[in-house]
Amino acid sequence: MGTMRIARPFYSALVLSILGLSAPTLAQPVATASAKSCPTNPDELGAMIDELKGTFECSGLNLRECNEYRAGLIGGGVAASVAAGIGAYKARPGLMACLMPGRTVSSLNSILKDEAEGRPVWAMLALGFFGPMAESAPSSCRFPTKELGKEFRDMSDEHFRESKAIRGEMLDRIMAQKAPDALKKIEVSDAEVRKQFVDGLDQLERQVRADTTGKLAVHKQWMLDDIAKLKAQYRTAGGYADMVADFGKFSANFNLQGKTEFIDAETLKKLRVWDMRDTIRAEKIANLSDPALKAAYQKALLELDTFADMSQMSGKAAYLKGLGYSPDFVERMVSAEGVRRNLQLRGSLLQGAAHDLNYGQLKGKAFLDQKELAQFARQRSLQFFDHPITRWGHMPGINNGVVQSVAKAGRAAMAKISSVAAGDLAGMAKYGLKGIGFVGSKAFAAVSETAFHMGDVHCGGGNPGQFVTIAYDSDKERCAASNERSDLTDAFLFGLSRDEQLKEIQQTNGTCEMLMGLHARYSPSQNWNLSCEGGEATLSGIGEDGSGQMIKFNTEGGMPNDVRWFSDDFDACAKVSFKEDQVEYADVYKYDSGGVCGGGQAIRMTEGAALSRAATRNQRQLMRQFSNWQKHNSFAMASAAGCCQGESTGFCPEGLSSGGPSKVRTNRSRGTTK
Amino acid sequence: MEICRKEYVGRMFSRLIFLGIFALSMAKQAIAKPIWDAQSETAFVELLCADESYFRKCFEVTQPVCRKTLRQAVKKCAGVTKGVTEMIPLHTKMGLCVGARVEKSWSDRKSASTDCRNREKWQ
Repeated sequence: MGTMRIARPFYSALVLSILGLSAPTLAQPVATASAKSCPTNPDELGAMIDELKGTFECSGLNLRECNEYRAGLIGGGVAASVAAGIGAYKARPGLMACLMPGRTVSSLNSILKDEAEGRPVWAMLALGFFGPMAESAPSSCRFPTKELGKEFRDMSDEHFRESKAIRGEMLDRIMAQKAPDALKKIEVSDAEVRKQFVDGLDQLERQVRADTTGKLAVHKQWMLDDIAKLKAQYRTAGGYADMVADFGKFSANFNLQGKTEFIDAETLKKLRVWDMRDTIRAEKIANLSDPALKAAYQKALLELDTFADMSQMSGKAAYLKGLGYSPDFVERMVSAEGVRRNLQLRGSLLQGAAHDLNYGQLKGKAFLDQKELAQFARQRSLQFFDHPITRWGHMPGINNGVVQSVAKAGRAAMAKISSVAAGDLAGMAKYGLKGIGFVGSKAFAAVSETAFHMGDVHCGGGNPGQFVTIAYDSDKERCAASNERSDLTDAFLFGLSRDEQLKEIQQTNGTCEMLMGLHARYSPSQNWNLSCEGGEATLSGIGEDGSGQMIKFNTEGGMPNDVRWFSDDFDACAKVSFKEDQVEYADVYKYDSGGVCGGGQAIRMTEGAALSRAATRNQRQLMRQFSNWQKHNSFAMASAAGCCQGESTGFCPEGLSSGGPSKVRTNRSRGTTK
Repeated sequence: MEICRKEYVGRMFSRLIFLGIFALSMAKQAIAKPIWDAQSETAFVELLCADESYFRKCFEVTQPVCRKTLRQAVKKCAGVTKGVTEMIPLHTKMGLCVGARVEKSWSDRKSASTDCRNREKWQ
């Protein structure tokens, strides 16, 4: 019971912490409130949270209600805490300016995660709050996009590390089943990993104790406590799976980021426990003399990639069970995957929320009309709209509530979004703007007024946090995609300039000419093959589960630097039409993947405001249409721009040039429906 | 002397009135009017019906149903905030009422998962 009593105020404290509020400031009248600087000292933060805990213990509830709360009706408690946080926000909107400066967030994060079992609840909540509240935010508010972006990256990294550790364990199991001889030669025992890591912790402990600068550990005792916990965990772990079971939690407490420059290389190497298996194994593989054993290892790696590419949780679970993992472990893994996806999704919302706060308040209303949108676009054009590779996950024309709905991929909401987005794009075109278009919730292409052609089909899709770069690999004569998310997501989250973004991409992909893709699944091994003959581009070899279909956009009208936008796993496509000299989307093909990559039924909708009504009315019929499409396993789209049209883009295999009217056809190995 | 006292009383009276008006205006400025409005409701419903939230994870409900039920519960719980003069208690009461009501009404849809019986998991 004691812990329960703590839980609720903690939650409330968490909410308030997110909002930059504290108990003492809450006691002040709104009128006299001023944005004061947020504390950065961990002790001060801890004290603040303690105070909040006290303040919110059954705040405002009578004895009966308080008892009811404590009695454990979970729903009531959860809802009360959330509502209390909202109330706190509303009581103190003036403190928005003090919203989560990076350092404070980092400190809070480490404190809060400890109590919240490593779950970055605050971040989830923050995003939930920022959206709905954005319109009422004071004009002086600044959303710390960059800092928060980093926090998201850190969180994702933690899950990445956990996944990586588990991956090493899985590799062992695969090889134990399929190549036991090879495994014997390269096996990395738990004891080896444990020894290295505990050695590293010992070394670090000595360094922390000796550190007088505070650079290694601002709060020395906490760091030492964490080290002690980690050592105990790793010394007593029964096996590697047990060792990594709480890895997320520990790595969250023990975040090495920002400390690496103060720790010597040898210690650091030993502390990277998530890399330890790979490190030790790499040494062993290098010493293998038998090529057959090396090949067996490579094959096991490929199988792991296949596993990583599976988008269906049930498939993943079955695979893990097949490798002999316990049901508990499987559940944990699948749950971790869910968290990862959620993080990615939430990360994508970040951009939208940021834009809400920074720009959405421009007019203080949810939807800007076309003229206002155009004015806004002009105003920002130098910074954003002229960038062929700038990606917008959100725009002031689409309000935060809609974005939230997008994240959840509700079908009705999606229909609504499509209509809004089409309106946005039409509005931009009307005013002759270059810009980023939207279909569905997503930015999908850099367009200009000359880029609209009757009959073009524009598509969009994906979560804004998901990127893929596609480059033509001349050695392998194919288009290779690299969608390691961090390379590019950061570029956008961190608000890099266009040149910086390009540099980022070039570093990622060498000298290949680049294409930008949207909405790829996060998968380290996803590749696409492209053939381009007779002006027809055919994309094949896309995800085993049917995801990864790509649509080529119209790129006529000047997309500089040969940066073209592609998309796989689109959510919506629309056919360009004209009405009274205005561009309008005559048809919107909505392809609702239900928030999961690949698959889904498409809904064709009619134009304008009737989109969502039409979707409802025609849904069944349209589902049948698209079911046929799936059956035929291909989808031809009329597009004015061909893969090989015009100048060499680097995307087409050498020797091929433009043909006649072109099509993009996607071949899918297997469709999924949802 | 009598005149002086009258003047004094009159001066004090007008000062008191002034102070009263001033205090009232300050109070109006100083205290944010507690209110559960559309914004509160939107944030509340969105957070509680998010994919990873307790209500979505522990009950077999779709998001639209979740939203609809919560909004209905908010209407039914409007009475609990009567007379509450502070923002946080007002919201807390509303949340408690709505959450408890929804929990009860969905009791037959609740997952058997142990996580869904563990309050700390969702705090």
